[in-house]
Amino acid sequence: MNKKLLKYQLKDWLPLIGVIFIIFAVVILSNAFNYKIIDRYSYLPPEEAKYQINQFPRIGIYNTPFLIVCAAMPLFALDYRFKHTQADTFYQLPFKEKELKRTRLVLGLTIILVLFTFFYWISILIFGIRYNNALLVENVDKTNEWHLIYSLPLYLTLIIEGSALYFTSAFLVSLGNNTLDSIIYVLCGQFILGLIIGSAYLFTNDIYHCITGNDFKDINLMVYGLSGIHVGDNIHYIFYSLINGMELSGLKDFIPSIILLIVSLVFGGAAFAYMFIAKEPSGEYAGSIKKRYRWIKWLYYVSFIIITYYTIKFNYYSPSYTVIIWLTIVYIGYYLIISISNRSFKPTKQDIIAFIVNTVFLIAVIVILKL
Amino acid sequence: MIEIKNLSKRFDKVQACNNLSVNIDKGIVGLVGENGAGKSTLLRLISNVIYQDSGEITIDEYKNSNKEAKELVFFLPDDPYIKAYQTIKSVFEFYNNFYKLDKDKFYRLINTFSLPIGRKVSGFSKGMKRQLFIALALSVDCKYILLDEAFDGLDPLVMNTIKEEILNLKEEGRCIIIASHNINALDQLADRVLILYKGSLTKDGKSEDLATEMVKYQIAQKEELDEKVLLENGFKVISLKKVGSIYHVVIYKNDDFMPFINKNYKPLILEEIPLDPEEIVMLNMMVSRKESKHE
Repeated sequence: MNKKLLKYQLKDWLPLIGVIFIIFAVVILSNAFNYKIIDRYSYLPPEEAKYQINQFPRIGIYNTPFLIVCAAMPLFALDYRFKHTQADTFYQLPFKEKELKRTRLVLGLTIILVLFTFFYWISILIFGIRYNNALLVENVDKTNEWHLIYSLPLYLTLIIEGSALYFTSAFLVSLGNNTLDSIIYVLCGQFILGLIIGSAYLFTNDIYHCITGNDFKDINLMVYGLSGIHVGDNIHYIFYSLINGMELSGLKDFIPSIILLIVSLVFGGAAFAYMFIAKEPSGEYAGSIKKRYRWIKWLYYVSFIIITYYTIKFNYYSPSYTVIIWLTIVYIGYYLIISISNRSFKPTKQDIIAFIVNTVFLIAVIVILKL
Repeated sequence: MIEIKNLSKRFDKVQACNNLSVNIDKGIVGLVGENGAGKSTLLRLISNVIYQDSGEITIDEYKNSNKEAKELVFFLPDDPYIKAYQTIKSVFEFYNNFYKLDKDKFYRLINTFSLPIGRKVSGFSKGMKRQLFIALALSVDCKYILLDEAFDGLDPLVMNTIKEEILNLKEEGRCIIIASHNINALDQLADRVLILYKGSLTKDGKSEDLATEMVKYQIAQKEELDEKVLLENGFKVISLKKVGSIYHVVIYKNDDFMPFINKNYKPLILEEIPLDPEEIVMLNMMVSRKESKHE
């Protein structure tokens, strides 16, 4: 960590800190004030309870802004690589490039965690006060009792998973040489990865079924949950049930979510190690639309093939026009992604070959699997 | 001392630096070469903005990627990064966070260049931006100052001030490496000129040293002077141009040239004329290109 850079960066990011502050303040605090203590008096006979403690507000209100900020912040932390002029300026500063990367990454995460911690606990405090005040009112109908004791584990889980997501996102951002490419990598990695893994699973299962007549053990739910966006779902699922004291059939219900959260942590841990150990890319790539890693383009092709298959598979019982509409969307999506990647609406030979291979594969799958 | 050993760097199909070895110790060093010769690449490699494919760069015995080495070097790229909202003051503050800057000198230069302190730098002309960053580079307390395209878009008055300041830095024992197409300015300043061609160092020396083997003749004659004939007679022609009715011929020194011309062409005028510094560097660049084609 470089103290001089830390001081400068903190000052330089003040507008960004302001934006995150406003996002958290508006979303989290408005949630704290807006949960409903239903006043039954207004529409029910007077002998009924005056107030009802409604369910604890949706935890997604915490998860969503926090995890989105965690996924997006690395785009700012590593933005010095996105223009060659910036790379020239920052890479020559009198400290190692690794120090530059580490300082900015750690500061970026610290800013998020500090702001989130502040608003999270303020909102829990508000919840607690309002909850207790509601209990003091006569004839309270305690339909659901809140177990605010789970606020601490929820907080710890969120900051740990959020940090893991932050570093996974930082890894995805680091694959790009410019803002647009990096945004695409983050979107693909955090949002589409689960879909691709799920589709790949389905495809492998179908091949397996064709050969052996059996299916894999059903782990669909788990493989779909592997992308970053599902981290929030799983945290929500576990803690919403716990805080609201909902009946559960035991730990068994949480196991898939816990496993997925552990997998996300492993991804985040690996990304953290990579970001702290790997050498910074040379400044010559900064701002370039060339791919530093050619395999990324191949990922596009493979994803395209898998998603096409997934589309057909999931529309198996749908009318044919639905299949055609979905396939058209997938093909347009492929064309747009490739165009953005190439910065040209004219696809390369390689892109066209991938398109042809995909179509041939599609026909083969329909014929062989008799879809 | 900056020691460069067998440095190579390739960008796709372009060999930007080709097994280059050179030591740069002190004084003012000029880097010249045509576009794409590898001048900026060399400066970016020294300052570790980009990494070499092979070879080694050490700065006062530290590897150039080391913190200690980076503290010794300040690199001013041809297009420095400016944020949209930055003013002269905030540019100064940015660099002041990381380097020891002479504030008085910086603002004195800014005043000399008559740059508007309160205005946003993004609205400056190219020349004004260059003046600002040159003022910054000249105020930095680094042993090695690398200036890329340093004299681009500068008016003669500003150039004079900058030259004086650069000479002052030299007096302080600093080393200034300047890549520029302004050969005249470089020649006046530089103790040493390095000529690069396709990533290779082709010449190394002061411009007058570079011309020791070259002679320029002015010949006025009726008959056409053919380069082929001169070559066939063993004269190594570097350049042959006809300006009006007068030929300007530059050849490698050969005592037989004047007798040969006198005997075969009976010229009205035949005299040796001095080469100007810019011409010397340009001729050296031409020689490099010719030699490269020949290879």
